[in-house]
Amino acid sequence: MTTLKTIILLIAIFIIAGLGFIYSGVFPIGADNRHSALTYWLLETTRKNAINTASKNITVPALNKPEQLLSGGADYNDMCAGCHLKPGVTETDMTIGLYPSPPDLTQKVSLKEGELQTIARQQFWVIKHGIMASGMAAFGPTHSDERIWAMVAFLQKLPELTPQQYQIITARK
Amino acid sequence: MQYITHLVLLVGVALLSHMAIAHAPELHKKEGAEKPQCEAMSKMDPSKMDKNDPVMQAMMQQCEGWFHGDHGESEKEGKHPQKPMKDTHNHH
Repeated sequence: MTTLKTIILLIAIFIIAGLGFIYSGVFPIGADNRHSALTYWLLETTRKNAINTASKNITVPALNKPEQLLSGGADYNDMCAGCHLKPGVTETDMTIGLYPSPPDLTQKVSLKEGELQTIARQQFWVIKHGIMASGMAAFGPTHSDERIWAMVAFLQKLPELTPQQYQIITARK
Repeated sequence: MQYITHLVLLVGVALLSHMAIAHAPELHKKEGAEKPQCEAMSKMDPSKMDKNDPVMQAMMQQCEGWFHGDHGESEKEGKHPQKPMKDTHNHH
């Protein structure tokens, strides 16, 4: 009985301390602060696994049509390049100021066989649903699945584009 | 009955006003937005271009008008851009 009471007391102290911390306002919330290694691991692992689970049953359509590159490229240039960069641009105010910094989608990534489809599913899901408590917005409420898939098609070609090719493809005529 | 009709209409309008409707690509267009700089294509090496590459196909679509002479000053001077790809010869 004494042990049970001790446990209950500890839990109560923990809850009160936690609430005290939350309401005190002492947590360093600024994006110019950095997470501890443990917190970073916790958030990153949770994010990756959540996206992987949520996207695993998505069917990827054909992503090799030039019309998709034109549609997706123009949308990317308008909505995404400020954070995720474009060929010839290595940083922006957003990449410097956001924490964690948005991934540079112009960088080539070496993929194993079969990973391309997985990446496409995950990219579609992230664009459509966004990531809460991050700078990544959900574009599903304002963009059709077809337009989002076009953006995914463009993302797959983005790392190989020169600045000139990027400018031509993403310009809205 | 009239009251119910008005109520249904009011609720319908309120709901519609909060609907997030996918917006058309044209809404992204900005005044003075960049046009495709197709002159860059004339500097590309045609032998290194793959006509089956969606990237190349997309660029060709963007610059179709430019290749047909729709590029202002160059046309007046009699300069016609050379289309980098033309699938009429078998080079093999």
